[in-house]
Amino acid sequence: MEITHKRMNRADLLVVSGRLDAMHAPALKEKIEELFANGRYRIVLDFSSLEYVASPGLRILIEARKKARDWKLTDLEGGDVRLAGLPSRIREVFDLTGFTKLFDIYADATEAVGSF
Amino acid sequence: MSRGELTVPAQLDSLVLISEFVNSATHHAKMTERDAWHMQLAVDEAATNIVQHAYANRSDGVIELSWHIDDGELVFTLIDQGHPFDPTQVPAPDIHSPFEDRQAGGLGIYLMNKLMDVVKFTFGTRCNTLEMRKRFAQPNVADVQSFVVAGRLDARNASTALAPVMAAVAAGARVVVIDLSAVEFMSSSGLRALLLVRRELNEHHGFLALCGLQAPVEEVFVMTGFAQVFEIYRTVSEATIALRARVDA
Repeated sequence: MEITHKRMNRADLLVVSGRLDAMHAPALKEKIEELFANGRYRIVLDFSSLEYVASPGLRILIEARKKARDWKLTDLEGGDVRLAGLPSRIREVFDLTGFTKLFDIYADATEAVGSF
Repeated sequence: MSRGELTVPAQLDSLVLISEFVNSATHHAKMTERDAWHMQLAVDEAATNIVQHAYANRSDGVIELSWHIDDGELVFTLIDQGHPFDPTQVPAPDIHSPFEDRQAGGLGIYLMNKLMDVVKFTFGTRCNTLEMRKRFAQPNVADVQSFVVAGRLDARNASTALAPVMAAVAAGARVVVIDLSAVEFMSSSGLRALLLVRRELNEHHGFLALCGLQAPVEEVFVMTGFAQVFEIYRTVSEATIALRARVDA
């Protein structure tokens, strides 16, 4: 798994590629925690190059979004973890586990960053 | 060979090796890409549970994996000597609950149950065994279907003459013999129509053989090099025997 980080004005973009399995999920968690620690609570995860996701990866997505949403600027504005560019296999896992309805999912990273 | 075994250290590092092992099994089973991906995910979740729960991340354990094909099912078995860990005791996640109430755990066993036809845990005194089965569409040797094509296979007739074959493949035929003994003329359109049948079957991991070529037709195959592309036999029964051997291999 590889993670590349781009800091944008509106949000931080993490492009995650390769296998998001039990072996690699902790590295993504660490990267997200690092953003939180720097006061960055608006995160876009670009999954368009993601080849594989298993339950440990799904688990940290929920935990990350919960923490991000605890941070609020106003009643309407605050932190969030939004997703972009799900390949069809990843989308199938999201559908099976009900994750499609749990996250705001955008066609690509530009759209997801623009949503903040 | 339709079985395989692999023993790996019970560490997360092993997940990639396990993934390659599953890949070889699904390849042998000629599973569709989607079924193969489901098998990958289920075995990966099972192995992750063993590393993190049965062995509780202890580094000296091993996981013994094996697979075999049993009556149209790909069967994976994972054996460990860790603590009996029965994920069926973990409450299933409510996948319809709103985000605020959504629990993060329990998804591994949930996915295994969703993706496999059978998930069975057995806890013995010395080891724990997990058996997972997934049914898949497999070419069946009893299903060799033969078709007689007659007349001229040219631009005018070829696609009509082969339409029943294409329809059968669309309906699930995977092992096909086309008897050309009543074909007196074959043009490039005829060859193209046969290639379409071949391509359809290849996409579904099926098998095709031709038989009974008359001399002028055989000449077309030899001249165009297609004699090397197609499997060609003298009679339907020779073709059938040859294809059964291929499917069994």
